[in-house]
Amino acid sequence: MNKTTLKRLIAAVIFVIVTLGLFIKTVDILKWKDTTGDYVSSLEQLYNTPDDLIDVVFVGSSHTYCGIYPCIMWEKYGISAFDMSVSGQDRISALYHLEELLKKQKPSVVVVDLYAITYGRGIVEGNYYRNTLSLKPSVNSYRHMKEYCTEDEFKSYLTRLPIVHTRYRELQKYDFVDYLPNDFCRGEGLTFNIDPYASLSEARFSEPFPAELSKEDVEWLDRLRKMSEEHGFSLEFMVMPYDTGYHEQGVYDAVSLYADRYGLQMNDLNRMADGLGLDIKRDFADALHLNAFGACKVSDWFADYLTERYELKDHRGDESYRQWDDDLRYFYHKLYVNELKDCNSASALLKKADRLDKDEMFFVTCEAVEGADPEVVEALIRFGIEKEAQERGGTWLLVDGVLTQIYDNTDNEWPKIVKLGNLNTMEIKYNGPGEGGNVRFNNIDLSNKGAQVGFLIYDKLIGDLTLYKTY
Amino acid sequence: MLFNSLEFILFFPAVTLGFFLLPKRVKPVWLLLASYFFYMCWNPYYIVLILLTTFVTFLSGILIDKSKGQSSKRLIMALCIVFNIGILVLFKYFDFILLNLNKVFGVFGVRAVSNPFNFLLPVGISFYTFQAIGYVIDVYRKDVKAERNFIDYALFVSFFPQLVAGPIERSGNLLCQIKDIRKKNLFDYQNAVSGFGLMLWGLFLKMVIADRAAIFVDKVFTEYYALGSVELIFGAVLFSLQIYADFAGYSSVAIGAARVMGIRLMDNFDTPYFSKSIAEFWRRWHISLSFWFRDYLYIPLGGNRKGTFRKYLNLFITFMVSGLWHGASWNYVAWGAVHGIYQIVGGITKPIRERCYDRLNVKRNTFSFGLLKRIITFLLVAFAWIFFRARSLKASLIYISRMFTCFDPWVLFNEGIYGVALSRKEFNILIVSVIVLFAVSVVKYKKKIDIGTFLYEENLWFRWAALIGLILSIVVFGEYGIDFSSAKFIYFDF
Repeated sequence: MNKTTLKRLIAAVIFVIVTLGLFIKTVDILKWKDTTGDYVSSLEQLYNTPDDLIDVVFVGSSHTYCGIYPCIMWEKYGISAFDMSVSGQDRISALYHLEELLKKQKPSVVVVDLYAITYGRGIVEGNYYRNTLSLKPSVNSYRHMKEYCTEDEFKSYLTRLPIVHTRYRELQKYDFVDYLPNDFCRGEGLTFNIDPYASLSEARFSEPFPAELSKEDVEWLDRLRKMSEEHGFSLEFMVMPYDTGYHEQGVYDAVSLYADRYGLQMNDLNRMADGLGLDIKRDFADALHLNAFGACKVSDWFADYLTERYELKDHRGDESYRQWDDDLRYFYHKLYVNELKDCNSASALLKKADRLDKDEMFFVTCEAVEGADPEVVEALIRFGIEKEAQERGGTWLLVDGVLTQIYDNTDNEWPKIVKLGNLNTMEIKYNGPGEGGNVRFNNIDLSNKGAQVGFLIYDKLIGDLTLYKTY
Repeated sequence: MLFNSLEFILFFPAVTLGFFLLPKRVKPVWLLLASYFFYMCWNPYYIVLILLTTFVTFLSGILIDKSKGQSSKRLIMALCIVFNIGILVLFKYFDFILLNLNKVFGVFGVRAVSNPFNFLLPVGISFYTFQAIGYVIDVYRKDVKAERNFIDYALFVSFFPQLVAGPIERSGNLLCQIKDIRKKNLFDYQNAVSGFGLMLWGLFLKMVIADRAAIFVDKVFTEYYALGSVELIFGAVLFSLQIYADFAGYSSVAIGAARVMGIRLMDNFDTPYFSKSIAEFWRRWHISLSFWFRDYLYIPLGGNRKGTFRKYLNLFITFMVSGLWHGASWNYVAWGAVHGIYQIVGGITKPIRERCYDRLNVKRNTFSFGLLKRIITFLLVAFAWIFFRARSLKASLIYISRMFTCFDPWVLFNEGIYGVALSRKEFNILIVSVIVLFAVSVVKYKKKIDIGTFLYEENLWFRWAALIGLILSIVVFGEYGIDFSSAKFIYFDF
């Protein structure tokens, strides 16, 4: 081989490597990234979990991740639970998601939500992709797609790019950088929305009326049973509280008979809803899903139930389980911010400011306004901002219990730039009373715009703004 | 098997690797088998027709060569042409002929005749039939010797890169190169690099530009009765872009694929929209077909050798037939006729125009004059494309009428244009792609070299940046796979 040929061969190899590298990066940006919506991905969270830590798994759809919060079990008994749940998870996907988890985890208990037995593939297009494309390419994901997809679409799912390449139309920040909660969340989908018109079906009060299970239903249950025998975990079934129809309730009652036949436990939380203390006016996000308040009750019940029934180790204090600790902190951060959002006065909000976590940066922006509310003035004085300072206007930062003024509106100094993590920037300046552009978070204008006081919270745990409120 | 498919991405490297690794004497067989496999991927039964055409024209060539008298040579040629055109007519035009016959019968109250056949039009039949007929005529004219090696000849007819959509090759070019396969080592680094670049460019044209423009065009040509002038003008202009990018893209992939294997196919598109006249346009657009019609129809009809009237008549006939070649429908014939009229009117008015330029002191050697001619030529061509694309002749007439009467320029200012079919983002991608296309076309127009050769001659960093840019553009922005036609952010599709 002569020199020129060798040079060309090397150039070709380098070209292929460079192209492949850029191609892989491109695919990484475009790839599917959520299982529950808005970049929250239980599969990603699973992949980020070190081997052999999960003791209890809850398998299911949105009913599961909306209704079971592992952090509640962790807080009470140190149970390392995980929601292996995906929006619209169907029967086939449930099996393969569980297989995926079992590659590197050895749970002693697996609780499977039965909602999937009532539908086939579903009708929401995004859920098809969530359930298939969130798994890393592997033999398991290949088998999943083979069983899940039609012949026509199999190739597109397998190669993924024909589906995800059009995501260039919707790329957001977290397609380029990691979404921090995926590092530690345990599969739950936190929602504080309250639907006061939610209801639960009367079917839950009826005497059990088992319907006939189809061949596919029984096959699915059998496959789950076989998995539990092969992998040595205890299999349980559950039905999360939601507005069931009579037919669905009949199917669940039939599964209950199946469970009895094989000595498996089944908990129909629909029938137990009143016993769980669920408040229909407060504990539901919509007709099909619990919200955080309902999930806390159900999760609390599960914590007691599992501890009573199984010998589950208390892992609190163990450094390897820091994700569960972070998950619990995350839950409390979200709960706290939800409370702050519900405050209808500045003084009510400021009263809660002493509960800020060390990871939460609390910004207070004051502007001199005509007809300033004396109550707000007083509340800010109690908070630590003197009246004269309020009238001059400025921005204060409370972090780790220390309050500091970081910008004075009368100083006409250069804009104050506050770096928040590697990617976020808060820019503070003063263009004038009620003007836009006084406070910008990554080019988003969060100025007071005529309000007397504004509150922002930047949460270092998740690397994002969680509160913006003005009074 | 489409060029823009996963199957072709696997097929082509495998065939090329086999081609370069196999012994020279086996290479033509390998390519022939690959070509038949390629063709049979569309429909296995198609192989029967292409083999029939191959055998008949192969045999005709030998018989013509062996015949002593000119009249017997002519007879064999004529029979061969009739046979092959007959197959083409049967598969492509039978329905059309029957439809029109039944319309005539209807006028006279005669019962309509039903179609006893249900033929699927074999893909590429128009191309390889013309290519094979061209060979027979070349043999008759003694431009080439009759080919005695069946494998070589069969490969000439069915060579997969140009089988289904051209370029329609001449035996003097392609057959000679096929014969050389056994003699030379065909791997050449420049050919491989420039061929690869051409293939990528072709896929970019097809998948990023043509298929994207098609979204808007399809909508406009379907709902033309409800749209205003601006949308319809956009539709016509974008169809001009679509058909160019689609066809030139396919040709580019074909030429590039052949070049990688060391075979040079003829250029099929030479920046046609930079033409300054319709006559020039037809020297730059689908060159292989234009030249085929010139050499095998226009010139045999007499060309321009029989006086002005015959010249224009021959031109008109040639363009009408060319229109019909494109499809079995009157609107294709109308498209061809429009181009024929353009040429005739252009020819007749040329002296008048020259005198006007002299009178008005128009400077003809200027950029502005050239630009104006190019714009006018483009507009004339775009106008003619309306007949080509519309569903029917009637639809094209309604389209044109609405284009000139339903005035609605506000859609450009109230962003209504983005509501037709392509969002702002998609339009932006299209605009950027067209700018790239324009830049590449300028390079080709000025330097007279294709993009593959141009990239090969440039520095390594530029070549790599261009190739990687093309690959990533195709992967990200290409129109393929499942389409999220909804603008909704599907992560919220809960």
